Amino acid sequence: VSSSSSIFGPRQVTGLLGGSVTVKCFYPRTNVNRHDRKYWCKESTRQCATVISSNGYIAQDFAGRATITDFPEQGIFIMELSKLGLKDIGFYKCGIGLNDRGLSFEVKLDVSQGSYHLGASYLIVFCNWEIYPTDNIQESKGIGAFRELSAFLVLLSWLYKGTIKKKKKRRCSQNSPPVLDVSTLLNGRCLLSQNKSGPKVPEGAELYYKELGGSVTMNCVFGTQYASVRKYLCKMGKTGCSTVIDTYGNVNPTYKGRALLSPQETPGSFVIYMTQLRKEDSGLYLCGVGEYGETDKGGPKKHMSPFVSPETAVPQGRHTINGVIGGSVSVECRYDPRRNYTLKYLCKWRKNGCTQLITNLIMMIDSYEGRIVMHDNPKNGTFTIIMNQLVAEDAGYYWCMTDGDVERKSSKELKIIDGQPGLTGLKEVNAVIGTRVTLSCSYPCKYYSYQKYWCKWNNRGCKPLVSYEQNQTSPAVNCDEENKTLYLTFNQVTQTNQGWYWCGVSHSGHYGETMAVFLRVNGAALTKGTIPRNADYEEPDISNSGSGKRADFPADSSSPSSQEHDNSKVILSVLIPIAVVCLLLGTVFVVVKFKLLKRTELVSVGSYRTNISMSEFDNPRELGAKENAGINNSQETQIGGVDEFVTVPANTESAEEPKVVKRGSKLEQRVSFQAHLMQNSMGSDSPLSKTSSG
Amino acid sequence: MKTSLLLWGVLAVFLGATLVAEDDDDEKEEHTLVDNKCKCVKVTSSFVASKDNPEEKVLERNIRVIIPLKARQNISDPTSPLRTTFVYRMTELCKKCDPVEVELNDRVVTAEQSNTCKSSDTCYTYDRNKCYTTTLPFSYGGKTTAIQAALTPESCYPD
Repeated sequence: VSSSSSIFGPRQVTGLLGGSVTVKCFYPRTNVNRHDRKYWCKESTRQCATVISSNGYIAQDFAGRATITDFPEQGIFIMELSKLGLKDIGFYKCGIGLNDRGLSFEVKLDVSQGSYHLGASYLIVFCNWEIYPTDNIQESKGIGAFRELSAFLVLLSWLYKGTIKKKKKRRCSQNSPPVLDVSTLLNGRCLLSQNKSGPKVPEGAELYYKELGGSVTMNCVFGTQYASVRKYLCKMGKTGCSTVIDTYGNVNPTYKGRALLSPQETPGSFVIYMTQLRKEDSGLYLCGVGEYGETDKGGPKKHMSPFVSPETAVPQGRHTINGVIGGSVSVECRYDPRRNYTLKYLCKWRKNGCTQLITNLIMMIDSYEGRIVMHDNPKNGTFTIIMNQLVAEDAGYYWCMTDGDVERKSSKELKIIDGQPGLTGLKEVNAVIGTRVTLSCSYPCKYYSYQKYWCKWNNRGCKPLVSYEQNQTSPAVNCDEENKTLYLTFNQVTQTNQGWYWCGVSHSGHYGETMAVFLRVNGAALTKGTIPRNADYEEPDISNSGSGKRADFPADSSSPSSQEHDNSKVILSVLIPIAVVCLLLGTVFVVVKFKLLKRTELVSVGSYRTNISMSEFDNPRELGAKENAGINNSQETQIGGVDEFVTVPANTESAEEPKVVKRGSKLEQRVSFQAHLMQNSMGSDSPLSKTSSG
Repeated sequence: MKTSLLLWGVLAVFLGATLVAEDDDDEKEEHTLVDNKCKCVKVTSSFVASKDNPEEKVLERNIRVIIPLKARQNISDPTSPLRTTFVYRMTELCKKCDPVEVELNDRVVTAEQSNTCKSSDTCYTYDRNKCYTTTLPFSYGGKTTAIQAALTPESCYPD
């Protein structure tokens, strides 16, 4: 019993006598294998004698008939043997390295006679063999020995040049005969399919040679008449063909999250992706339409035989990702960095296919606005998708896809678990145009050594924000290490600053957690401080008041409260001048009022009793505080009106005629006239000169 | 006619039985426990029908050791003497010393699964995926220089 090796090829090949046969063997594309010797040897009791090798050797018996070609980039090498003779029948090995070291695959070569149709190289055309029912594809239930017996009899049939064969041949020659896939016989299966329409020879099993952990794409093309029929993929086993996945949403639990059935553009065709391949996935698969077992629909089937090589394993990264509600996850998808893929995307697995969420060009779905971002790193061959603001419905399977032919598609399962997000902060911030706004994001200790950043989200990605020193209009990013909060400040926020901002951490090139904040900018700013504006601040504008509540909000209180200061400064600068003006007006008013009051009173008295009024005027102190106490009698100060006045000397004995002082008001004119009269009548030295005061 | 058919049938049954045996082996699921390329030891295990009770399945362990009798004591030095002592310790072979990625609270860490993992190990044969070289004295034109030669040329190609 030979142990399995990582070389894979067809188990049996059959060629026509005088014809040729092609054998394709797969190997893991490691560096060694690509450069090592490839050989094809014929087994005998003692050893395996080389028939042909990639080093240039050809055995004499096969000279001129055999060729060997290596395709190292694809990981296959192909042998062709022509002019087949009966002595070529036997067991061969295709392998790498030295002949008997075990890195090989055994192939049985058969040569048959007669004019048979041949599809692929390992088909035997046969028809109406009674043991196998021709109408359905049920496995003929029998013991293993019986199966092998019949297989062997089939193989022996060409030996036995009897009439049985010839009869069959006659019956088969008119229409296209049913075909028997011999490779499946050795698996214990026998499949017949009958062609009703034209000479369509169904292919044999398509061989897929995949790496452990890798992925495989299987194309199934059927006619457009099967557009609305159930399509399925099933795996052959001892008890029949068990469904792996179908279009009705049934998925075998071992393949859950690993297999995806997705319809193609042309109706009736579909493609199946299988990822995270395990060794147990190797085997024969069938893709078909309708139900397994029906052939009246012309039941086309396709046999696929993926072989999972254990040698080269694709690094896949984590397959299950845990996220908390409100938190974020980052999904890393890998692809071959040497190849150029035009389209890379992430899609969410649903029963009827995979919905594209985001591609490397643009985000697809509106409901993910502000929530999802893709970063591509072509050098490493990874693209990272970050999703935040998680909700419970985000749980499920996600597929990373590329449009290339070399598959590195992988699927990840996102699970929502209990817990709290690491990055905390306000998720929604309202601001008024022209004011200073700060977004804050608090991180826990474990991110202390990580790189932290702020970026602005748009549907093409998240643009990192750089801090500016002097520029007033752009936002400033600074990190307050001690208190573990990251701030993003806008000195004068404008309408264009509105949008989603992400605060995130990253470590050695891998993106970690993120948190999204939505900044809403309201218009119509009022520059002077009035009461309505203050009220606007108090309510949903949590940024100011809320910041004060947090304990770790530091000495950096100047930044949010500076807005208040600004406003109060404005208020003060406006109120104070007003107050001063008011006060001055008030005092003037008071003074005027008092003086006038006194004046009118005295004038009226003076018109009746002159003496009293004169004596009253003697003492300026009685008239009020505004009257300057130390002023000379000769000096009078007129309040109100524009007056030109001339000082009258105190001792105006010689002043017969006091100088006329121009008055602005009638009352004063009256007073002066009376004084004049008095003076003239009395003619004595009297304090008439004082009468001019008023 | 009938007797010839019968004889053919008997032959067919006989040969079919052997083919059946082959067939079953391909269905066996083998789990690889050890695949040590350095000492060329492969240990696999699988469930097989018990010899006493065919209905029961027992766990069977297969140990395959290939001893390179023409190997040198130092595989990187072709001038060292032939190795005559080969020691295989199951406990050492069964240790899982290759670093694995382990997830710890959303951080991925690479760690070895066993303690006392000896990093250096004397190898009895070449690992196909590694490049082995040696320095040789090379004389040309009367001058002898030491050059590096590949012992396993296929493995020594640059990627």
